[in-house]
Amino acid sequence: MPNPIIYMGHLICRNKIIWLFFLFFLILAPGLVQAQATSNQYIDDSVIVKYKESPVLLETKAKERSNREASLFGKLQNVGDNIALSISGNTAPEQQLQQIDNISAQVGAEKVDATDEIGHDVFVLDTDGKKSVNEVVNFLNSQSQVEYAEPNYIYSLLATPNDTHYSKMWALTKIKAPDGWDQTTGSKSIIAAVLDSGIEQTHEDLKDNITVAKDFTGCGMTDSVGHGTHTAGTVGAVGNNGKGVTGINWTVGIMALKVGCSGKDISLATVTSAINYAVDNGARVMNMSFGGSGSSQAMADAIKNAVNKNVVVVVAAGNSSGNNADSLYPASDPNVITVSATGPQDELARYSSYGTSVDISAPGGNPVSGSSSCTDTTCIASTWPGGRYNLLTGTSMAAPHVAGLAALILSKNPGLTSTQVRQIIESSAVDLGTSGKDIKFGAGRIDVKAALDLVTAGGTLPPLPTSSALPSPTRPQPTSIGDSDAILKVLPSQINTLKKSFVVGVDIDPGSNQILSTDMRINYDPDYLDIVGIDEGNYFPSLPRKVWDSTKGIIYIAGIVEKPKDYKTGSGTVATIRVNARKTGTTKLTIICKPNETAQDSNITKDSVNAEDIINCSKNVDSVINIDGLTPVPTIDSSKDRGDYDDDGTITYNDFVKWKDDFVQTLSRLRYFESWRKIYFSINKAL
Amino acid sequence: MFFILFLVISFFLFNLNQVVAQEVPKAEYSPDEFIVKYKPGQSAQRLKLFVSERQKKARNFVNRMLIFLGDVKTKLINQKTPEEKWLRFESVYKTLGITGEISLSVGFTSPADQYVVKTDARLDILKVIAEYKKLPEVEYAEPNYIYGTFNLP
Repeated sequence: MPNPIIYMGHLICRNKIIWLFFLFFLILAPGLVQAQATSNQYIDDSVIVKYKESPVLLETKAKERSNREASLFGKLQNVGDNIALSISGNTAPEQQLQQIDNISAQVGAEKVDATDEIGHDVFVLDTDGKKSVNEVVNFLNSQSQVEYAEPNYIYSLLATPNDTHYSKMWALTKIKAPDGWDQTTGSKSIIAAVLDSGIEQTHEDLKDNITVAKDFTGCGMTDSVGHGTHTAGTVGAVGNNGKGVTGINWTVGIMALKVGCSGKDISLATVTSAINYAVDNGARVMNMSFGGSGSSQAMADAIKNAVNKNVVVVVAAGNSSGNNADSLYPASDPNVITVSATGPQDELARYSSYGTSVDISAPGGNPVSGSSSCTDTTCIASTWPGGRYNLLTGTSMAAPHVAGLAALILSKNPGLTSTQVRQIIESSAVDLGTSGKDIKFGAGRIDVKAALDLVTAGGTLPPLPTSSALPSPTRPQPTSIGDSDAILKVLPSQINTLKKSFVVGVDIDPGSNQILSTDMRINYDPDYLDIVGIDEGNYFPSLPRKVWDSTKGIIYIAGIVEKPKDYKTGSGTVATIRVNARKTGTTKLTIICKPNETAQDSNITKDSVNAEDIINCSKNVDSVINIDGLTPVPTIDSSKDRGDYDDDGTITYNDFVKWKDDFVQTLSRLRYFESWRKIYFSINKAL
Repeated sequence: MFFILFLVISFFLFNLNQVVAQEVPKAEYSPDEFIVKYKPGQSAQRLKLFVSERQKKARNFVNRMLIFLGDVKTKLINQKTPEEKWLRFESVYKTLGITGEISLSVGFTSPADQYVVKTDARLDILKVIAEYKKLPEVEYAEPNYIYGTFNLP
């Protein structure tokens, strides 16, 4: 093979046409590459839409309403519904559905159905291509039923992003992120919660990826220390936008939860609330780049619940340089993925804590001393308050690389459980240090490409290597749950005279099937309303309720509505009551919200609901539920403790049964009294 | 001989100090708050609701009789009535200087019965926790630990 330049020269002499072509490419080729990198590529006749209310759900609702018309009671219910809808200013499901269909028709798409659904309430619309994608997107975004619409981008063509600081991001090349981006660059429907010092919501490189920002500290969402803005950027700074840095996910739903004001004042209470909030609001990944010496049961409970609800929880190992990660929390929690930090040469960073708790390692930078000695080649570049970018180092920077990878994996296959994601990350890691899992690097340094190769898009997993070190896979939680929201409204003009107790009951009719569990929760904004005497956010396992082996039952929630001490003038919804039930079988479970019907259980005092507190069942959700392969679990009656207040505090038939049991037990201890035994048998027969 | 031994030992100790470069930070916690987890359905707020429901119910004669008999039963099996339990909570609140509690379960799917309890910081918070733990309704109680971010300055 001759030297290419000489070879070219040879051609130039030989053929003028080739010479011209050569010149042409010399001038135009960089422009072409540039054009490919900056202008977003998308499919011409397809857009992605997220509706405020899923058309699939609306259709079910509309069908249910028309079914109801058959009976007199159902008719009445629909009338009541319509009144409730007009009060709350909402439209009926049929009308909403009609509006959505109209929108589809206007862009030349077919009626939206369940087969188009690609994410939670996210649909792909195939248009006729008559209007340009931009026109369609703008039109859809102007519609009230649409939450957002965006072009159906083709990302696979753009494996290297054009962000200006990308060349400084050695960590991404190290973990083979560019190779992984050929498969996926993330999805807005995967929500990654970042529990940290806040976030700069207006940052040009973050704002498009922030879906939720919530403050748990009371000092405002602003990130005054920069830590949270930095970690969030590693998880998902907007990629390929020609600006600043890129996250491991180019697109992702960042849920920024502020748990500390100065970064050194992160309290257990705020963290626990934030974890619970993230789980409750659909987060799939959670990053916690903090810790301390206080090992907590409350946080352990919250984390365990999160992992059981399929949230991948990633935490930093700590910066105490030594074998001490096991004495730091949450690093030592058994359910989290604990991350130690590596440097540019895959060495353990000199500051990184390690120990048996370490599961995996990721780049966190390894400068000579602290972040003040950072250079482009030793530290992690990410977003920083003030619309700027900064280099930082620490296990804090290592953890979001793993959290980002978890979100990327889930964007390829959202059906994976938290344990499966963890197994993929660990089994695809590049083994460092001592062969196999060790205390310094855990399973090794993450490898994005190898991890994504293990994920089958949208399908099931290839068999994973089994290891005793890995936790056994847990059963995926049954996700089909029927929800119904009842909205309790109090007008600002009524707040001063308000002191009302209320009961909201829900009637459940599962047909021939068995109810597995029920749950009711109440949420409200304490600025506008106070509800006292209620176990807020709690289900009522101990309230006397119907035995679920019968086919019908009512559950309810009760409390007293009051004006809050520091009432803020405002209006709007004040409390949402959520109902949830699980059942066996495949037929329909209908949850009917009946706020105006007196609770049928005499153990709860029912104050009739009057005009002062309009309880409005604005969302009559009737979901079709399919749970297969679940064995019915008998409901355990938790109110067995006699005389306890979770019993009803009065005498019931059950008390007699309990006394009989007690009596029998006492008698069995006196077995030698044969006559007692006779009495026992006769009593047993009588009852 | 002893001198050499001393040198060896001191060198060894010095080396050990070098290895443990940075200590794990001391556990910090809030001086006026702590975290409590009640047994399922037995939180103070739940009890308060229950007591108020019972009082309302007692307006009706039949219910009053049922409650009375229920209380007799409760006494017989050496338990406390809800009112007594609530009184016990109130007295504990007073002696420990507890001013209020806020639920940590923000929503629908989170673990229930977790609360952050605020005190007037009159007493040492660790003593308050130890006392509060003695209540039969409490599953566990722990300080409101303070954590810090893991970036190097």
